[in-house]
Amino acid sequence: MRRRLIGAGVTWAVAALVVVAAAHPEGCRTPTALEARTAAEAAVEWLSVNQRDDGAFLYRYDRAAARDLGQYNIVRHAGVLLSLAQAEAAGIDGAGDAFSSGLDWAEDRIVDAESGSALAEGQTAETGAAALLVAALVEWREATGDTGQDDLVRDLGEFLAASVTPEGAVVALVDVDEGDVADSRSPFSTGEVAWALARLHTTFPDEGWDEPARRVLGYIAAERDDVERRFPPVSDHWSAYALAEVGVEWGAPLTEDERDLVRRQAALFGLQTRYESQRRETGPVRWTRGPIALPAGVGTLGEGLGAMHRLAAVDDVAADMQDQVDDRLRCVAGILVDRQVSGVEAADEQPAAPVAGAWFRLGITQMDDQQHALSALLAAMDDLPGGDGDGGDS
Amino acid sequence: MLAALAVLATTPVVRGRLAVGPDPDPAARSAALAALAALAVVTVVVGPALALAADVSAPTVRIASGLVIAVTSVPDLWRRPLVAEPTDPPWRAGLVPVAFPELFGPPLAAALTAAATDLPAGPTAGLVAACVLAVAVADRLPGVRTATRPLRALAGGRAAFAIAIGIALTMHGVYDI
Repeated sequence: MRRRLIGAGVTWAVAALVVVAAAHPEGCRTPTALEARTAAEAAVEWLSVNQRDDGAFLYRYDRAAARDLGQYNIVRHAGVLLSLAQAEAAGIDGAGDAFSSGLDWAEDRIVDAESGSALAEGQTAETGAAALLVAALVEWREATGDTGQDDLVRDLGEFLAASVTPEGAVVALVDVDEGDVADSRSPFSTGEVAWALARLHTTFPDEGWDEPARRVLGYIAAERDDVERRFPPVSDHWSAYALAEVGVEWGAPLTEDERDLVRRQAALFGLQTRYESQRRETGPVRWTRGPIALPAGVGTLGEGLGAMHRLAAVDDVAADMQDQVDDRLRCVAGILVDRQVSGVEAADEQPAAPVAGAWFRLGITQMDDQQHALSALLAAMDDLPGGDGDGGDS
Repeated sequence: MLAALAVLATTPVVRGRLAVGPDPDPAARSAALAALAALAVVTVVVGPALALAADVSAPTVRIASGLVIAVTSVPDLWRRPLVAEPTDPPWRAGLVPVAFPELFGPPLAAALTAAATDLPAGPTAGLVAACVLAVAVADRLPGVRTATRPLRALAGGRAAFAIAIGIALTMHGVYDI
């Protein structure tokens, strides 16, 4: 009997080990709207002071070596413009100037394509770049009332619509002379194009942009994961933006497939947020959870959750999940506020400009870390204590 | 709902019946039931409170509970239950080995914690009552010998069901928001 009682004790010890390994504290705190805004302002400041005269931004920086690591990415440039346009809409100083200078850089890289215009360096255009530029220009138009880029927006839209296949898939790469690069697909371009086309319909409702937008969304919802990548499922904040655009801005009901996509994406954002909130930069948790995620990745969770939060106002599937979605959104905001390098922390570093206001992972920051973190903070701001839609006491 | 099912799947009714012996003393039965009820109540009160204090969300509790159920139910697939020693005082036999470790083990503790985290107090209390009642009813069944094959097979089947529910509970936690 005694030996078997010891066996029972071992079972309890195994259970305790499983609990310790699986249930780490999540360390989510809810920042105030003011904290989130201050962090967003610091991110805009980072983008402004690390912008070159030609409008390009510092792309990648090694903090320990105090070294610019070079390289550039045109899709991410367009993404940064989007976050700056969102910051301009939120009234953050400096965002507009950085946007305008960055737009100059982009306009120098607008090329004629077989159909419409693309944003490209060299012969091959990524549809994601054009899509994010459309999203950025529409955001800018809404924030400022500036309609000066409408022709460009339509040309880019024409290029994007031509990249959509009859079943709704999106060609990721286009040779500007030869046309589509066969079978080129990307986990992100599809959602980016869906959102861009949806935004075009919001802006120009009588021009037929809704049909390709809905075709792409239908493909994402019903077929994309099976056809392009079954595992792991794509955590797709761009599709979340597109779903919110259709539901909130168009005022159109979502299809059953789209509502199922809302559920799946919310679950993915939630799972990743919970996991990320368990991570620590030091201590034993690093052994069980690994190093913290890329700041850009954390930011995309906030962007996706922000879109779900907006959608909850008009869709009952999203409304059913709203409490949990809002909890996770506030958690992402807390993670981002806490992980950002403040001006005080960067004051002793030489140079301080590439460090202050940035988010680092393993000592490296990239401009899209600031882009996605900025967009996420802006998406969460209203729902935080002291914000317009005060997230109150949770 | 899944957490409630997990409580029922992890209540080792048959193992408890086998552990108490073929001709149980009423005092042993009463002690076992009282201990089970007390441990279950403490678990549903303390478990969620600990999770809250440690900043562990409900879906993560579900993941951890599901894993505990799935892992620690495996030995129950083949392990014979401990049987009360006839020489022990009945109340003591009711506590060890009947209530602990046979009736109240890690799978049931995990399932009760998950249920109490997910459900309001009323349904949780109902589950605790159902769990104790199931054991009490089983104790009233006619005497059985510890080696009775059908009962052992039934206990193994219950463990297999608990493992399946544990895995489902884990997946539910993973795919929650």
